[in-house]
Amino acid sequence: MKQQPAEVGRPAPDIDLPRAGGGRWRLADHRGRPVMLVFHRHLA
Amino acid sequence: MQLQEHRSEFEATGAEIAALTFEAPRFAERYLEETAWPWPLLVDQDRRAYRDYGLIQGSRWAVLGPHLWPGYLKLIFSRAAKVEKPHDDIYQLGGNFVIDTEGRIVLAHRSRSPLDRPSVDVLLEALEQAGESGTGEK
Repeated sequence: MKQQPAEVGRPAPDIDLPRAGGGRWRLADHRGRPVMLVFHRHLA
Repeated sequence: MQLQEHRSEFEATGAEIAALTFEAPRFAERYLEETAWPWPLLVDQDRRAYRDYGLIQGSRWAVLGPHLWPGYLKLIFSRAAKVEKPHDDIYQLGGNFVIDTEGRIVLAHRSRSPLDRPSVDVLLEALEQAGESGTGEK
């Protein structure tokens, strides 16, 4: 299914990724709190 | 911009904060060791989230153009950062998103150049809005 673009007012695309150092992080687990996502460019 | 320098202000909003990188786990873990990043750092090596959120690849001019050199120098000296060869794609740009309590996007900032980020004030204001939007009619 094609996902809607990530634009203001639309549902945020889900994220389910491993954490550096261990464990996983899922956006859906944080429903009920505001969330800020910071997408890095390269880390050097 | 060093968001962690404003940690108490961000945490006062009650927000969950996470960063994403497309680099290998060993570089992500080293980043955590070398910086004071206090929140989760997620590893997205296939860049699925980068694509889902519409983050862009910058042009050579957008990433390396001389108009950016003063900003790069300021960043290097302000952080006393180690300068080393990048491990990965230097053209992939980042961004910032704020999501409300119901899972809707309230701020979408896709960087147009490496130094293009929203200010701390803009982010804090969006987080305040995000915390309120789930509690009333919208």
